[in-house]
Amino acid sequence: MEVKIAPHVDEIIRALGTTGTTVNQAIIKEELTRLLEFKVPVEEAKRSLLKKYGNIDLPSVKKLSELGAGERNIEVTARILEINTKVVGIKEQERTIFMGTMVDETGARSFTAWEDFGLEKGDVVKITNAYVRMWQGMPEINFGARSKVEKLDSSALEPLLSKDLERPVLLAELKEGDPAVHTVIRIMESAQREINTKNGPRTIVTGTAIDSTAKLPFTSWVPSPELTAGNTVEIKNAYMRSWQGIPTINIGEFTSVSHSETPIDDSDIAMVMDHVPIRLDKITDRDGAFDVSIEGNIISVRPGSGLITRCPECNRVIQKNICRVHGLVKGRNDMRIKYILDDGTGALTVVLGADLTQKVTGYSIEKAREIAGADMNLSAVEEKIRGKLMGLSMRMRGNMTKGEYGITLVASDVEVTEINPAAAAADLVKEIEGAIHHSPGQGDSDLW
Amino acid sequence: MVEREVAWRVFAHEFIHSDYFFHDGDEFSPNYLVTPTGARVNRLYFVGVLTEIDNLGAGEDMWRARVSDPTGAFSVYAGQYQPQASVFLSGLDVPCFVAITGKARTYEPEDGTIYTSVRPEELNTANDSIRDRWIVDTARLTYERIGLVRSAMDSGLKGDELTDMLVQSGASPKLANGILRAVSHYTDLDKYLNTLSGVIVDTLKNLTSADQSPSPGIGISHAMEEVARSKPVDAMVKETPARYSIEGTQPTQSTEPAQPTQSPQPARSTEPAQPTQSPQSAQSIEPTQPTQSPQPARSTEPAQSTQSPHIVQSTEPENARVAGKEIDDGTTDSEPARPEEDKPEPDEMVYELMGIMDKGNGVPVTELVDESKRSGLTDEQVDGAVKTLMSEGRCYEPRIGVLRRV
Repeated sequence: MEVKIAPHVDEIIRALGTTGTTVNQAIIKEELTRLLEFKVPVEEAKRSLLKKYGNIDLPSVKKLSELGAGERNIEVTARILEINTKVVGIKEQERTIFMGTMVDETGARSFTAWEDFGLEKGDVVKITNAYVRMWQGMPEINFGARSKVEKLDSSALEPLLSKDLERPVLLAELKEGDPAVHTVIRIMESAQREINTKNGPRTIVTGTAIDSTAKLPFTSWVPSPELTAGNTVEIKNAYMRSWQGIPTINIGEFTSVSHSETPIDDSDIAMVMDHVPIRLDKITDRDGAFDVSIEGNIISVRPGSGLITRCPECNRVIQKNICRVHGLVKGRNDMRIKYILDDGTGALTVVLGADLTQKVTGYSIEKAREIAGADMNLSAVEEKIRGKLMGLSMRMRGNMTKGEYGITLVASDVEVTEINPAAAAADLVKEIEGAIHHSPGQGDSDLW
Repeated sequence: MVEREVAWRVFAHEFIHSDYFFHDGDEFSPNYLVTPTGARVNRLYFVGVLTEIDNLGAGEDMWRARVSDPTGAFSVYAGQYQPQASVFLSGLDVPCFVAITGKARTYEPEDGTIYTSVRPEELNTANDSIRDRWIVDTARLTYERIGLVRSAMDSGLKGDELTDMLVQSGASPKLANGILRAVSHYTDLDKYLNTLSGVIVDTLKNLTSADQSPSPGIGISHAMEEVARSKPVDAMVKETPARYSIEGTQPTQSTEPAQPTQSPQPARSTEPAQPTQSPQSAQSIEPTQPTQSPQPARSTEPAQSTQSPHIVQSTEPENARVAGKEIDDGTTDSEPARPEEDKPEPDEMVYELMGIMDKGNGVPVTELVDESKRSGLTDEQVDGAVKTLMSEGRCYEPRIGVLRRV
C-alpha cells in the first residue's frame, strides 16, 4: 500500500509547532516511513510520533458503539437527541449538570456534560478529550472543563439518523442497555410501590407492558397517570436495564410518556396473550424474555433432577445434610427437574419446581421419598423421571434468562402437549402439495 | 458460555445420504455433519423403532443398534464411554419404540464412502404417539429446509449475500451456514431434494391413513431401511428407488396392520425383507461382523419366547411407554432382575455404579462397596474391579477414600 507521506509529515510538524517544538523534518519522515513499513496504521503512527516529540496526546476518534468502559481522551461526533439539566450536590455545592442522549450512525449513548456548553437538542457536536464511565451498566460519555466541544453544521451527520430513532421499536427487539428507547406499549397491569432508597422512601410504578411481539416488565421512577392498565402509551427516551436477568423498560425523569393516538387492540396482542409458543431460534438470541411460551421435546433430563435436599437456612442444594455455609443442618426435601428442551431450532435448560414436577410426573415429595427408599437412593428418582419424561413434547411458560450456565427458563406452568398426528400430517401434505402446485417448474413432475 | 448444540430433526433417509463432515478451528471445536438440506448436525434427536441390537466383539463392550423411521434407519453405536446407553440398549427387546438424543458420527472405510451413525447421549423408550409427533415435526422442519435450499439455489447469490437472504427468509445463522455448505458440496442436489420431498409426502400420507393402526410402520420401516441402506452413498442423486420402495412396501402395512396381541408377528414380518438387502452393504458397514444380517434375527428370536419382559411389552404396543418403563426399571436400577448371562463384568458394573452415584464430587469407597454388594458383587470383586479400573486409568482417587471416573 502506497501512502503519500509528505502531507502527514507536514501535519505532524505543524502540530508539533503549536507546542513550540521544532523537529527536523527528515527525522519525522524517516520514522513515519519506518512505522508504515511495519504496517502501523497511519493514524496510529502519527499519534506515536506526536507523543514522542511533542508529548501531545491525540484523542482517539471513536464511534458511539465502539466505546468501552474506562476509555479516556476520545473524540466523538454525534447529534444531541435529548438534553436535560439536573442539579446535583458536589462537595456540598449545588451544581447544574447536563444529561442526555446522543446518537451517531452506529448507535445511541447517554452522556453527562459537567459544564454548560450551551448544547441544545438537535445540535451536532464534535467533542474531544471526553471519557467513558459505566453508568447503569452501560458506557456513558462524560465531558467537562478539560474537554473541547465544537458545534458543527447540523448537516455534518446524516439527518436520517435521528429519524430512524423516531421509529418506535417492538418489545421483542429491545436489548439490555439500549438508551433512548422509543416504543408504543399497552399497559397490562401497573401498581405503585414504596421503596426505600438512600435518599429516603420513594414511590415508583411497576407493571407489565405488552405489544404484538412480547411482554416486558417496566419500572417508572416517576409517577405518571398514563401508566394505568388498559392504556396504550408512547414512550420516548426510556432506557433498558436488566432486572433479575429480564430486560426491563425504565422510565426516568427525562422519559416522555404520552397517550398514543392509535391504541393497541386485543387482536394485536392475541399471539402473546394466547401464549402461542415462540420458536426457540427466535428467542434464544434475545437477552432475556418475560413470560414467554415455548414448546419442544425434552431431549435430556439433567443430573440433579428429582429429589433434592436444601439447607433450611439458605435454600442451597446440599449433599448429606452438610451446607457449605451453615455446616451440618437438618436438610429439607424438595423436588425439581432440570431438562433440556429442544425444538430442532434451538435449545435451552428448563427448571421445574416441586409443584410442576408433581404436575408432570405425578410424584409428590412423599412418593419420591418412597422411590428413593430407606437408603435415599436419589438416582433412582432421577432415573424414574428420565424414563417418564425424556422424549415427550411439552409446552411451558416462564421467564428466560441468559447466564454463565447458558440459557435458562424457570417455568411458571408446563403441560404435555398432544397433537393429532394424522390431522397435522394431512395439513402439511396439503401445504407441500399446494406449494408445488403454485410454483411450476420446480422439480420434476414425474416425481410427484 | 458455550452455546449448546441444537438437536436437529432429520429423517434417516437424509442422515444416511449425508457425506460431508467438517470441523472448524482447533481440535476441541465440534464436528458437524452437513446434510443435503443444510442441517449442520452435531447433535440430533429422533424417535424410531429399534429393530436390531447386537453386542459387537467379545472383549469390548460395544453395542450396535438400528433404529428405523419410515424413511430408513439410523445406526447407533454405544461403546465403553456410553455405559448407560449400553445398559439401556442391552435390556430392550426388538421391536420397540425408542427416543434417542445423540451425536452424529461418521465411519469412512477405505473405498471413500462415508457411513453415518449416532453415538447416543440419552435414550428412552417411547410410544407410537411420540414417534408420530416426531415424524410430523421432522417433516415440517425438513420441508422448510428444502424450501430454503431451493431458494438459495434459485437466487444465484453467493457468500454473505446468500447468508443475508437466507436469514431474511427465516433461517437461523447456523442453518444459513449449513445451506451454503450443502449447496456447494452436494452435486445434483435438486434431484435429491425432489426425492426427499417425495419421501416426506409419502411418509405423511402414510401417517394420515394409519390412524386406525395401533402401531404403524414396524414392518415397513424395516424393509425400507434395508433398501435405503443398500444404496451406495455417493450415488445418492441418481437414486429414486428409495421413494418407490416406500410405495412398494405400503401395502404391507395396510394389509398387515401390526396387531397388538401378536408378539412374534412383527419380528417375523421383517424377515422377508432381509433377502432384498444387498449383502455387500451390510458387510461394509459392519466390518467386524461380515455375516451380521442373519444373526440378529437368530439371536433375538429365541430370546423373545423366553423373556417375560418382552411379552409385557409386545402385548401392549399401543401403550409401549408404560410397558417400556417396566423394562427401563429392570435395566437401570435392579441389576439382579436381569438374566444371569447378561450381567456385565464386575469391572463394568462398578464402573457404571461409580458414574451413577457420582453427583459431582466422586463417590466414597464405602458407599460404592455397599452399593455394589447390593447388586450382587463380593468385596473381593469390588476390590479387584477398582484396582483394574485404576490401572486402566478409567478412575482415580481425587481424595483419600473417594473414587471418581476419569
